[in-house]
Parts: sequence; structure tokens; C-alpha cells
Amino acid sequence: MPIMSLTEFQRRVGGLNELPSLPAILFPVLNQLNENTDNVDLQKTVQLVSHDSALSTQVLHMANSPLFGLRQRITTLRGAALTLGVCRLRDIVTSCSLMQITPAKVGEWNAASFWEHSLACALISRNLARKLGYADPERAYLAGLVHDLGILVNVLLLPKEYSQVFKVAAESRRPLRDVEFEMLSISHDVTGDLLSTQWQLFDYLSEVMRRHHDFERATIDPALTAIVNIADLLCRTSGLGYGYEECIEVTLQNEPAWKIVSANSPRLRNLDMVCFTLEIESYVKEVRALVSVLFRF
Amino acid sequence: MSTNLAAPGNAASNPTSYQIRDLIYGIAGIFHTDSRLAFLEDRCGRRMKELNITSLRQYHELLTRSASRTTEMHLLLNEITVGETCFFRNQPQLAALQRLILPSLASSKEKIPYKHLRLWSAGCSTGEEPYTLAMILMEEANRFLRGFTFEVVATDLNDRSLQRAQEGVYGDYALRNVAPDILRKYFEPVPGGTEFRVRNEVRQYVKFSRLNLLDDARMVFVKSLDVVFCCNVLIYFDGASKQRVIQHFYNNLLPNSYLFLGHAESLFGVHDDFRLVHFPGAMAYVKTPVKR
Repeated sequence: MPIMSLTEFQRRVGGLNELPSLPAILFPVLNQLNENTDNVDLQKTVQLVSHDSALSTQVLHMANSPLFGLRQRITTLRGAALTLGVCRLRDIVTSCSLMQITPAKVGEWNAASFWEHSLACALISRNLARKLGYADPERAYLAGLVHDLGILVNVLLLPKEYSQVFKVAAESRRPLRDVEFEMLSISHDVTGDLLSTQWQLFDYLSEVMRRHHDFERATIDPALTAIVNIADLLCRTSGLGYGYEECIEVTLQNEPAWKIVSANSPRLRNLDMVCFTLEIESYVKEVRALVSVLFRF
Repeated sequence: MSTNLAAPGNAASNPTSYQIRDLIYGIAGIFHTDSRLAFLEDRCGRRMKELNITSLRQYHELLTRSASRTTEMHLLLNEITVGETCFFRNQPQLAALQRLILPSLASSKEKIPYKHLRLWSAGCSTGEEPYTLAMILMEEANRFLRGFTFEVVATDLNDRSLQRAQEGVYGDYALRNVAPDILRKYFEPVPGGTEFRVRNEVRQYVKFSRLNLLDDARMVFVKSLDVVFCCNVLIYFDGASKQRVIQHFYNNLLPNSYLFLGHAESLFGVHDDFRLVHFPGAMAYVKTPVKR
């Protein structure tokens, strides 16, 4: 029996002013996506970040994580900008500023698990995109990072009900989206779409938020949406899911997303998925450690 | 048959080591790389001491020309393939078996009159894995597997390991992952000691036998399998031997049945007809019927 009808949910969603705004820093940072990296003023980004001391600390922590592969320790934002380059710095600033707008815990829902999943999905999407020869792996990072933001909408708009959804999903080990549908008559991909519209995100990011479970209807960048779908599945079977262990069996070659990706990438046949999965498993500890540190600030 | 390896050493000091290496490879498919030749020499040394043989060349002659060469090769293989395992070793694999595979197999066989499940622990070492599988099947006997009969085929190349497996007596180390309720239910204390024996109720489901995975003539008889566990065995085989063994598994598994390998083992470039399946924290291969 659904807790709430779709109409009732939409009435509640009508009050979108309850939702956090897009962090101010992300307007200029994300706008750089449209610019040639040679034209991006790194100094300007550093200045913007340095105005927020908590964000600066988070960015430095993340920049020094083994996940970003730096060989020496960086102690200043400027150093991070110069060593990591425009794209990596943008990824890190975006990740940290989105984490800042999230409440730590709402009932049964835990923000740390949510960000572990989102960050892992971002890293895996980028890695997979690279291996498949997708044109813009950095775009895949951002898409992976934001794909599940609809969950945040649900948590903030319906804290009590969503806590119950989460509890039922965790206890029954079922996919979160199935339980959302069953109990709320709406799922995080639909509410994610509402958020992306409010935040005026790029159309390809909106599409990933709306279609990552329904990628066959993607029209703007179907390959990107399929990559995020596969990364999402791999996260959920590698201990970086929604914060509980789902009872799922995934045969990638039978997944429709895999077929979309294979059609676009001849390189796929050279990818040993066991090795790739072991690579993902090596992220688990680092992602958990990083998110736990970032949530201290 | 997961093998305890000595630390990588230098290549062999004695040219006969290479001949013994090739002999073992030809018979059992186990290949000792140059960095493992010191280990092979050490294991030959153990047998030579037992036999009062002083040179590797003499030992090679015994392995190739004497009337007892087959027996001696068995004994040498026992030295090379010493198992190192425990009960409920790979928890994510076992959770996938119990939570997802068994319910799915049970449901697919729902309409078959003779409801039977056959699992194979290939390279069962001292028996911890096949007994674990039997315990999981017994746990599900009154749930998903109501009305089913089942068996666990357990094979290994090592006679000595098989003998210990059949005795079914284990100490703390092998039992370190066993939950107290499982210990009470499926084990009994050995009188006057600290060890535990697997109860007869479990043992009746496990059939042990010695089998060389490269013995084509015998491999064809391990048929109609629902799940194969062959963990950390194929890592000692070269590409061609691996392909032969995997093809046997493929032929002997029923359609839509599962093959579990060791954590980092992959069939990439070895066999194309299995499909990789991801479970939470574990991977397996599923046999999909080939479309020709």
C-alpha cells in the first residue's frame, strides 16, 4: 500500500523552496565546463574556494586522497590547482560543495553512505568512460556524482516517509527504486529531474539524473547515461551501494546499458571485467575514508 | 588444491628440475615458473629424503622409468598441492549461493518431478569447502529446497588431503569462521581433544574422490552440475590446460548454472561462452547456452 499518492507528492514538491539552492560557488565552476581549459582562470577558482574555509579544507583533503593519484602532498589550494589541473580541481570543488548542502542523517538514511555511493559512481563512470574511449571522461565524473541527487530531494521533502522507505529497502535487501515506487509512487530519478530543472544544470546532467535507470529513453547523450547506469550497478555489487547490501545479481552482458555501450565502443571487448571489478573494489576503503573525513568539516 | 607456495626464489640450480617440471606439467597441468623452481626442488627433496635418494637425476629416473613411477608421481603431487583453507571461507560467494542462486535454481526446477541439486567442489583440499556447501544446502532444506535431494561432489588431486577430508576432523584454525550455532548443529567434539568432527548427517551428502582435472576420460563423467566451485586451482595451470578444464566445466554444467572461481581469477581470454555475473562482493560465471 503506497504511503502517499503521486498527486500528494507533487503537491509537496510544489514547495521546492524547501530544497537547498545550488551552492553559489558551482555557478562559476560549472560554467567553466563550456570553456576551453586553456581559457579557464585557475586563479579565479582558487580565490572563490578560498573564501570558504570549510570548503578549502575539504578540497585539500580530497586532492590529497590516493583516489586522485597525486605523488606528493599538497598543502595549498594554489598548489592543488597547479598540480591537479582545471578538470580535477573542478571535480573536487563540485564534490565537496555538494556534500556541504547535505544533512548528515535523516532517520534511517545516512548521508555518508549516499556520498560514498555518489563519489564511487563518479570515479567508476570516469574510469569506465576512459577505458571505453568515451570522448569526455570528466563529464562522466560529474554525471556519476549527481545521478542520484533525487534521493536528496526525497530525503529533504519527505524525511519521515523516506526514512521508512529506506528502512524497508534495507531490511528486504531490495533495490531502493523499487521500494520508492511501491511506497511513494515516485522514484528518485523523477525527483532528481525536478532538482536539475531548479538548479538549471546542463541538459546532459539532467538527463543522467532523470534517465539513469531508464537510459533507453535517453536522447541527449545515451552513451553517458548508459555508462552511469553500469557504474551504478557495479557500485551496488562492490559494497558501495545505498548503505545496505542489496540482494542483486547482475549479468552485465545481459544489461541493456551494456548493449548501448558495446555498440559505441569496440574497446569493450578488450576489457577484462574481473580486473576492472577488482580495481573498483580497491576504491572502497579509500572512498569510505575520504567521505568520513569530509563529513567532519 | 590451493597450493602453499614458498617465497619466490631463483631459477633452479639443477637442470633436471626443468625435466621434472615438464613431467608434472604434462601429467597434472601444474606449471612451475622459474621463480617457483626452488619450491619444486624443495618438495622433490622431501621425497628424496624419504627414499634415500641423493641426486635429482636419480629421482627423475624413478619418476619416469621405475615400476613405481605412477605411485611416486602421486606422492610428489601430494607434496606440491598442499591445501590451505577453512570453513565458510569466502563469505560473499557463499551468501550469493544461499540468497540468490539456490532460490533461483529451486524455482527453475519447480516443475521437474525429480528435484535434485548437484554441486562440485573441484580442488576440495582437506574438505572444508564441500562440507560448508553441504551445510548451506542443509540450512535451506526446509525453505527453498523443500522436496529436493542434493549432493556435493568433492575432488582433489592430493591423496593425503582427501584422506584428511574423509576423516572430517578439524581444529580451531579451520573452524575460525564457523558461527557457534552452526558448530553445534553440524559438528561434534572429538572426545578428549579440542578438535571437532563433521557430523555424519553432513558427511552423507559429500562424495570424495581423487581426480586430475586434466584427465579428460574421467572429467566427462562429472555431469549434470548446478554449481561448480573451483577456487584458486586454475592459477597453477597454463593457458591451454585452463582452457581444457574450463571446457569440461562448461560441458558438465547444466544450462544457466554457475561456476565460482577464486577472487581474482578471470576467464577473460580463456573461454567466451560463460557470462560474468556480479553478486554483492562476489563474482561468478553463468553458463549460457551458446547461440550458433
